[in-house]
Amino acid sequence: MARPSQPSPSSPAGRRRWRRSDNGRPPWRSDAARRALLRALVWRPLRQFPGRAVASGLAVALGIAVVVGIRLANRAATQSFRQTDRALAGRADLLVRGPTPISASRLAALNALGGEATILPYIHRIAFDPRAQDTLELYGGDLLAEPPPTAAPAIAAAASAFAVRGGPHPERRAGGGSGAPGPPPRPRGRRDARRSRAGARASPSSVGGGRGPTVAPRTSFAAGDGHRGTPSAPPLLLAAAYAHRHGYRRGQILHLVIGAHRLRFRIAALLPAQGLARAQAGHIGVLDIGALARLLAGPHGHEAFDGLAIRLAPGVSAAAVIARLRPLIPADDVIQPPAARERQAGKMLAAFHANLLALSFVSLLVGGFLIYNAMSLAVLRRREAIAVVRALGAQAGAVRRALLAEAALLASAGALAGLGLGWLFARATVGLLSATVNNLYAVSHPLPPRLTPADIAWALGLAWAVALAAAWGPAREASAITPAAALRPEEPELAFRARQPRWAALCLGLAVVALAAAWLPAPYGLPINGYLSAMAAVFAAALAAPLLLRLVLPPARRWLLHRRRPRLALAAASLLAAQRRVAVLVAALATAIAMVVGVAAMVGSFRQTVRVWLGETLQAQVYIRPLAWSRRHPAAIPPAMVRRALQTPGARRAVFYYSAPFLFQNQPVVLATRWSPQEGARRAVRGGLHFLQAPVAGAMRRARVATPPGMGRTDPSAAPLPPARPLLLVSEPFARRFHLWRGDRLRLLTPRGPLAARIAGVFYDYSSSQGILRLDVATYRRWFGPPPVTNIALYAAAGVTPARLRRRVAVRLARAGGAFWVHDRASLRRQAIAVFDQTFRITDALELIALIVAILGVANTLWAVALERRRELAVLRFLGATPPQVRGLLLAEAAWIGVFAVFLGAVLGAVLAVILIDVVNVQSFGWTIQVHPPWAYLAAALALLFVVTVAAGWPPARWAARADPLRAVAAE
Amino acid sequence: MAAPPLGWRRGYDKGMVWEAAIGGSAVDAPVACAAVVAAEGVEMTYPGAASGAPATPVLRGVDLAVAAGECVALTGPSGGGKTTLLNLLGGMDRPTRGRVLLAGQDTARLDDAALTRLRRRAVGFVFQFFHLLPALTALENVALPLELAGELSTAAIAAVSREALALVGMEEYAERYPGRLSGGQRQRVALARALAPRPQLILADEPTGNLDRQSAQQVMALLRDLSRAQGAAVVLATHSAEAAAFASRVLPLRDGRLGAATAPPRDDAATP
Repeated sequence: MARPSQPSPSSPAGRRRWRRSDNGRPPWRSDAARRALLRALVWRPLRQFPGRAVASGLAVALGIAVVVGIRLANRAATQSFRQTDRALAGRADLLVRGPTPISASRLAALNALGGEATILPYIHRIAFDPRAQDTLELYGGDLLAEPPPTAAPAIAAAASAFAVRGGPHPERRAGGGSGAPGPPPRPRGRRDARRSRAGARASPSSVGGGRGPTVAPRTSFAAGDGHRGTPSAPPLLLAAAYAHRHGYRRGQILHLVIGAHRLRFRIAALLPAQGLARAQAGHIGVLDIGALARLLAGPHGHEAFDGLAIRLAPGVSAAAVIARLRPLIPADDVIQPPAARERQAGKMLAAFHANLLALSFVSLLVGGFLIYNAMSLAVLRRREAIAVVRALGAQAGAVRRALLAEAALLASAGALAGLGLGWLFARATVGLLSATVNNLYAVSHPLPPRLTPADIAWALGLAWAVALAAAWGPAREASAITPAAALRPEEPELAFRARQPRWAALCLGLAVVALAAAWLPAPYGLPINGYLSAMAAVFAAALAAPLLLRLVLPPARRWLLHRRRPRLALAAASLLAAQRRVAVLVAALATAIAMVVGVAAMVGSFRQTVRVWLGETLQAQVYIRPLAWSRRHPAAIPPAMVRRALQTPGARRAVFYYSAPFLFQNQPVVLATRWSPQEGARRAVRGGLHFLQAPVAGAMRRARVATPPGMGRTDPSAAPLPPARPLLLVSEPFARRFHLWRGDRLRLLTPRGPLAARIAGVFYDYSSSQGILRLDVATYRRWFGPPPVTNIALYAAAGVTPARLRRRVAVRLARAGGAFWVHDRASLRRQAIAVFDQTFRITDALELIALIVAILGVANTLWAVALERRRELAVLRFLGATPPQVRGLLLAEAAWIGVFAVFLGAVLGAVLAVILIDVVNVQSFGWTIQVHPPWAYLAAALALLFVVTVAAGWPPARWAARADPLRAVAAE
Repeated sequence: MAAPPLGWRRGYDKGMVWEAAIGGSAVDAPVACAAVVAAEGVEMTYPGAASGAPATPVLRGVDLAVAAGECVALTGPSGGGKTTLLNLLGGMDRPTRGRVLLAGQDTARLDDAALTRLRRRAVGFVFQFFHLLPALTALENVALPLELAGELSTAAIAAVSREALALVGMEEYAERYPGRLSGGQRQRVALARALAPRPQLILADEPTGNLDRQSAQQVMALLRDLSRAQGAAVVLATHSAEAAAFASRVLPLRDGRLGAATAPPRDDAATP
């Protein structure tokens, strides 16, 4: 080499010249060192074993995918409610709503507000579209006066189109047709609308009545009553998205079922996807409130509204208006800002969403275990490199940071991939989630899930948090040992063994935490302590894994040697020598298995409990309810239809139900009553119930009331009963939610003032997690008025099969123009179980993904083990082992891992099942689940998981068997 | 060994160029001065593997001082404590009793970070099993301690590393990964890595234990000559009398006790 023309950089003079800064910390100092460490400890090793990096990244990706997917799907479901509520509220400052519709006649009382506020009634109903087999949300409002902001142009355009063309049914504007009074002349614009509304303030006594001044819900379009047989169809503004989805065009007649009514509408215009028309993924129809009120009231009924939207005049405070409004509206009506309603919708789904999210985190947790394992393996494999760089002057912190950087890198790659997968997962699951929400809570048409920058940041943050937490231990360990110790090959396992007593103590401590957390109450109504308990149990099990290995493997090895099973004994010895990585692997796999076992045991028990409950509660032969029905919008069965159903040949006895949303302590619950012409009110109200706290005998003696007069077979809603002490029963979820049990007193706000009642009993119920208040019908009538019939249960006469009675009822009601779901007991039970199964299908997906992540970890770790032990395996070959024997050895190790994981997973799964059943479920939904584990399913699942674990060891075992021993030894 | 004697000789010549650049001599032994490293009454005991197992004493009252430019060979049977003493001298471990003064600093009084800094500045290691990072090329392995020190620019690090490789006759293998080098070549790369930061002390643990005789002599000669040229002290742990012949002082270490110094066994190859 030629002499350099300048001083050598390695000479003192040269160093001074080459050094760019003498301030003690050259600008490149930290960067160069960091780069060198990253290259030596991270980049190059990752490049050498890209499969390991891919497997670890994939584990994170799947975990993140599940969490992101559930988050997006949850949000899509919640947003559909929120969007609907926002669009419905429009620019309203307050909403008034009550447990029962607000009668139009009550509007007159609101005149007292004068010009302080504009009051706009609205109607919100669910309609069933038989042709499309889809549901549609119908909104009735004073659209020209106060349209939802973004929908206003479309509505105005549609209105103007009707105006120019003279409207579809000018004769109706004059008040003709089917005896229903006609609407007032349609105003030509917003000014007319406001004038009309002003008129409403003056005298809102005749909504659609056509007599006297018009009220706020003035009919802006011509409207027919739409009942079957009427020639005209009121105009409907249909969301363009819905129309395009089902091939509807403007001007076409649309047949819808609202409650039990079959109605016809003419599609007057298509609403572009803005504002209200975007809500519920476009399952929206908008009508003029006058038309809709008349349609729902029928020719002789009273028009009523679902709520009032109040817009305050400038400078008027909401509190002042509430104070003035309060005495004018029924005591059970609630006045609140629209945001409060949104919050209630969010709260309604909070526990459901939280549980799904918690389950989704299991995959991420399993992924975290695998990251821990991957990093531990990486540290073990790079011990020499770590020792060398430490000996060469790398600081312990720098080594730790380099390893954490690797974890963050894997997490970032996994998170980015997981975001895409999560979006796909959300798209696949949002339908399932929506179906569950529909079944359990309210109709929901979620929008397609969308990824936002906040989601990306959240996923990255979560992935980093999990990966860094998982990698912290191995990284800290790598940096903590002295370089001299790091060069001793046996050191990590020695250190690991030395720590085992400490870990045993920690394991016990976590078990105590799990037990204690399970007894703590649920803060904010969310089972946070239940999750904490489950988490503590999982980590306790993870710490128990190495102890289990240490306890079982040595005697097992001796026994196997004694029984002349050398391969299994050698496998046991190998696992014992590498118990650290094996323990982590067993913990990861056991967590996934425990999730399968725990959730399967919970779902199986729940399913069986529901089956038993259905068997006890469904005692009638045929059940009837309106076709278009939802929990938020229960529809009444018209009295004529009730009579027709009762007169069906073969019907021996009938029981009537009424249930509707109700607000108790400003929280949504269900208020119900049950009565029967053949039973006393107090006896009827407890019919079909299975009690957690049965009413005491004294209460029932007082409850012995004669069959009420007028409760004849043909007149279910008869005259009020004589006053009696209220008999109130509450469902278990209600009791748990409000901490009110038998003997406790509560106060219900009714249209006739507050009703004080004592809880007579608490019954099991699995139909509503919000809770049910069931009043005897006499009390109900006295405080709320006559209850409409929302469900009918028919008992068949002797010799009439349920199926035959169902057919007869269905035909009779259909001939009368009604639209009903009619089920016999068996089909209703089948349907209920189908709904149940559908509800938990999403948990199946979550379990499956957690297992895939764990199996991925098994395959990854066994590969790593085979790679690391290639020389040892080669020596075995030199000693005379055949390739099948080497393969068998690795498969035996996989089998050992499978045995430990299945055992630990089964035990942990049983613990998780108890926590899920007795803590999380009770705290989330308030349901008592009887323990009925599906033993056969669990046994089959565990056997399958064991086989899959062994199968995951097949590829590395095959590779190891085929490896050339000469090359493996030469690699030294 | 893959590298021919000529190559080694050429590397040696390059060493002369390098030394010329710093104004020293490759063959003249530097004048011994204050000890670079000293052990005073050092004892080392390893705890038992299992809890309750008796502790294992490895070193018992070792006193040793090595001056700059001096080459000391520690000999003795396996398990005698040679590696342990090297680890203590290099600041990779701390004694149970006594003290180790490395570059004038008591290693037991330094925290881990300070000890690491001291080691980075003052000590170079040569191991029996080379301990080259398999994921890095020969050049990158040599550059690693310089990069970790962070005192030179990237260009300077590359230049110094190449020079160090050239000194040991491995320049043409700079881009090779350790897996593709012979044992002797690996050890020469390891030697270059130890020398590149110009440490005050070079600790070599069985540097020839994995090498054939010829490679062993080449490596030892390089170690002796280059360390002398840099004025570095060398402490060598070895079983090999041939390797010990390159030392200026041979100290037997048996059962954790250091024996009296003996003259190195005569070996023609070891004569400079």
